[in-house]
Amino acid sequence: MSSPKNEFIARVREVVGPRYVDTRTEELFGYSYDASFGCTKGTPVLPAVIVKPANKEEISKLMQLATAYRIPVVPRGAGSNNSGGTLPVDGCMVLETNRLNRILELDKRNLTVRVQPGVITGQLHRVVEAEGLFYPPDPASLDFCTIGGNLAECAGGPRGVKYGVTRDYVLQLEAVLADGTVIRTGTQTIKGVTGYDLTRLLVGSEGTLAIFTEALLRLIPLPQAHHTILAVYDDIRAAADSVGAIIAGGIVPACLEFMDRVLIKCVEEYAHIGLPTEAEAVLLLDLDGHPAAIADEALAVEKICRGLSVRDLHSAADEEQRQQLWAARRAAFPAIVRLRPNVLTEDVVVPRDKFADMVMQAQGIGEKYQLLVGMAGHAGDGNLHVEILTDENDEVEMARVQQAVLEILQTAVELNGTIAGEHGVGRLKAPYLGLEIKKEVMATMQAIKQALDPLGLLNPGKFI
Amino acid sequence: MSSSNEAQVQATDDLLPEANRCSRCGACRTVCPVFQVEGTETSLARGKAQLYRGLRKGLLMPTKELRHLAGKCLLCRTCVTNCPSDIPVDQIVLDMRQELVHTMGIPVYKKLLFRGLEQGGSFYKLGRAAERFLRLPQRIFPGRVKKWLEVLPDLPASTFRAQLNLAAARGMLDREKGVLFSRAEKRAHRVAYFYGCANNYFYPQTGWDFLQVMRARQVEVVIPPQGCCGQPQLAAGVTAERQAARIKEAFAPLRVEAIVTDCASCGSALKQLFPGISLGAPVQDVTEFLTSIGLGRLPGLPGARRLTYHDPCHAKRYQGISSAPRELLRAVPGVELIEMASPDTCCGGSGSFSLEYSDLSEQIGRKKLEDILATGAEAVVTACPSCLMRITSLLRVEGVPVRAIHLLRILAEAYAGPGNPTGA
Ligand SMILES: Cc1cc2nc3c(=O)[nH]c(=O)nc-3n(C[C@H](O)[C@H](O)[C@H](O)COP(=O)(O)OP(=O)(O)OC[C@H]3O[C@@H](n4cnc5c(N)ncnc54)[C@H](O)[C@@H]3O)c2cc1C
Ligand code: SF4
Repeated sequence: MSSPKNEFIARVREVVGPRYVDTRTEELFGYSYDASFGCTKGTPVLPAVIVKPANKEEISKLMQLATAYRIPVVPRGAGSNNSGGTLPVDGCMVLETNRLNRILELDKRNLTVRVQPGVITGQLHRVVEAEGLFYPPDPASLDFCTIGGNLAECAGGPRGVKYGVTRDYVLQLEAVLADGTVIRTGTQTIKGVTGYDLTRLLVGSEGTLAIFTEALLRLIPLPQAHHTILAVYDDIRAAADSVGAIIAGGIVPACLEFMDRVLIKCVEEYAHIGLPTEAEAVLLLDLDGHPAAIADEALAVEKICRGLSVRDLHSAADEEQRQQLWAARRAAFPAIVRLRPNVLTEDVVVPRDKFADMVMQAQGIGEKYQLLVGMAGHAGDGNLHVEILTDENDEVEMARVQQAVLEILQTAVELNGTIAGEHGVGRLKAPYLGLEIKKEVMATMQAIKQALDPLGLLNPGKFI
Repeated sequence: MSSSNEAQVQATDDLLPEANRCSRCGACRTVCPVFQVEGTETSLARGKAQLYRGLRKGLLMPTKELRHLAGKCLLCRTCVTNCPSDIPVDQIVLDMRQELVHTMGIPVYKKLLFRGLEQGGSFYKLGRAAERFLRLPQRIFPGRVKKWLEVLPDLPASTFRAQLNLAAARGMLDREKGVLFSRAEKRAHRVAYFYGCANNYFYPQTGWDFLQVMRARQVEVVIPPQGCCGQPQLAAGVTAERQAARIKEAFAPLRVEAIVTDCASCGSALKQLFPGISLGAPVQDVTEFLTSIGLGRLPGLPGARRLTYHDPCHAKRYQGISSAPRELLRAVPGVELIEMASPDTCCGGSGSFSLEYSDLSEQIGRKKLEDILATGAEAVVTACPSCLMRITSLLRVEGVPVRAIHLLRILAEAYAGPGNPTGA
């Protein structure tokens, strides 16, 4: 009865209270997945225990215990990541930070907001926007993903093209290290150079270096006005070329999204907003800022698109229609499983002048391996999501899928891009890291990991 | 929307491929009422799909714990309507319950309940006796029983059926071979009335309101002897074949325009069991029927009323009904309809869920209560006795002077006219 594991769990119960600890097999089953590909295959790995602490003190104590008992720890937010970043390892403790869900302070004079990791991204948007402020990072999962997960994945979204990603809005982090030490990185100020930039190091570290307990985020004023344009194309190349041309034309839209025929169809079937299901591709574009400037830019965009044989150009008539279009875009990934049982999303990024090449080559790879491939992307920042529609339980097809994945990633690297834009490396991408990251760089990263987490307890098997 | 309306009595299809299609995106986290209180993955749609996978693939054993988790779903279908991947989570949960009943049997108390619902009058008398005993003030009961007593309304002196029989004996209703008829002066329509267990045992007044409203609209109402609609059985993962056979026997021979019910839960069960006109006539919710024939002359209420409307899940997401009841309410002179924040959020009742998971049900209901109270309405109107029960109890515990009433009560009063308040 009193194995070290049981002893550990008993002490965990003392720290957070029995209500927030679960070891029932059935409940553990519910923490054996995230939104990544492959979760329905085989026998799921179960954690030993799920723990839901309430504050940093508890998290610190939990990490001290984990260190003492050598228990691996998997931090978890909403479990919406697509890279297997929260998949448990055998015997681990899943540490969910969702109870730390308060917006602590909105400082309107310094344009900052202090939040806990369990705050839902969309909720933060609503709160700051009600004050005329703006937190731009907008992963499509914003209705349910958490700031903690966003920080750990350095999440991006359609607005990345103009406003950057999570990393660009983090001033300060409070985090618990593997041994339970609580650190505070960064400064409250907009600039600061004292010491290594640990904030940037921790953002995007996928729960492998520390557990976030608080963040001070930078805000900007909310743009005055918006104008959303839907550009419809009969030719996928023309749509992809328009992306490069708009950027080269000196226009920086707030969002510039690309969807191919497969995606259009699935999204339309879910949302019924009148997308042109027979078109080969669409661009969904949002201009924001001063109304006069937007009007100018809209004309310029239309001109560029016309020059590239766009079929139709529509503008959202009102805010409601605009919201509808973007909500539909956000549903693209889950809506796509209407066609096949599962979807594997590749998340490559290439320099923007190579976006069209990436699209065409990905399409070619899909054809070569006889796979149904849909494409969507935050095209404006060169981020292409190649959605391979498949059945993860079909071994024969999966062999072809693996080949296709490898070629898509290789293509991205050849085009001077990266294999993971915003969905993280997690467990799924980890085997491919070598395609892009040189040995000596990897060694440097491993040295950092070794220094911060010598026992390798934090999220093992992920990232590096 | 998923297509359970066409589903057979027993949906034993293996839904594993459907469960596997769930992308585990997490969008259901934003809408699941159970998750919003519990915060656990297994209370969530994607967690249910995972449990189902575990059970079907033999990775999870049929345990009491699993049964408990499978039970922890309101079947409100909110996740289904919201799910971008169109996963029929309600069907998956039902199939899981069915499988668990298959391997583990039905819990004894449920067996008793189902048998009781079939027994009718004698079950009711037993209930009355138990109630009198339980409600004795000096008795101290475990918390659970106390919660039950909070949820259940006070039992009326006799069942609706008994009251109908008495009325027939006094010549107020006609009787032919056990079937009762509520005649209209000039008959314009003829429907059959399915009043359901909840009205029969708890809310006979709604039954009388139904008859009054129909009489005002020149609708002749045929009331055959009847039992349970099968909803509790279906929700528990038990076959409703016997209920279906009985209903068919009682209703199919009646030559009527429609089989009308004022219970959204009965309505959705009946529509599922008898799609189209397989019961001889279409099954309709009373709000659907009334909007189709129109309200006619409606004298109006004794005074102005500020009301808000709660959408029963079984009306909104199982039958697609949401505008009809509002249309009816707005048509009543004197009614001001104030919409609450999210009128179609589940009230947490979900039939026996409110007894089995009484604390959880109450906590889910609290959100509803907040929305109701925020409108400042003097009463919340709905069209399902199951919701009425849950909401009434919440209001009572909260000690606020807001009432929960069936839509038919408002209409009955409005037909009676300003000078004739009809009590209750
Ligand atoms: C429909 C859909 C659309 C998506 N769209 C986008 C998109 O547009 N852009 C984008 O970037 N991503 C997108 N994603 C991926 C995902 O939503 C993001 O990666 C998000 O940031 C994950 O947040 P989460 O709360 O779900 O974190 P989880 O999935 O729970 O965790 C993600 C990682 O963060 C770590 N973690 C979580 N909390 C903490 C903490 N407190 N401290 C330390 N580590 C922690 C975990 O260990 C894990 O490695 C999408 C996902 C879905 C399902
Ligand atoms: S049930 Fe639907 S909404 Fe929920 S995780 Fe699965 S696909 Fe997403």
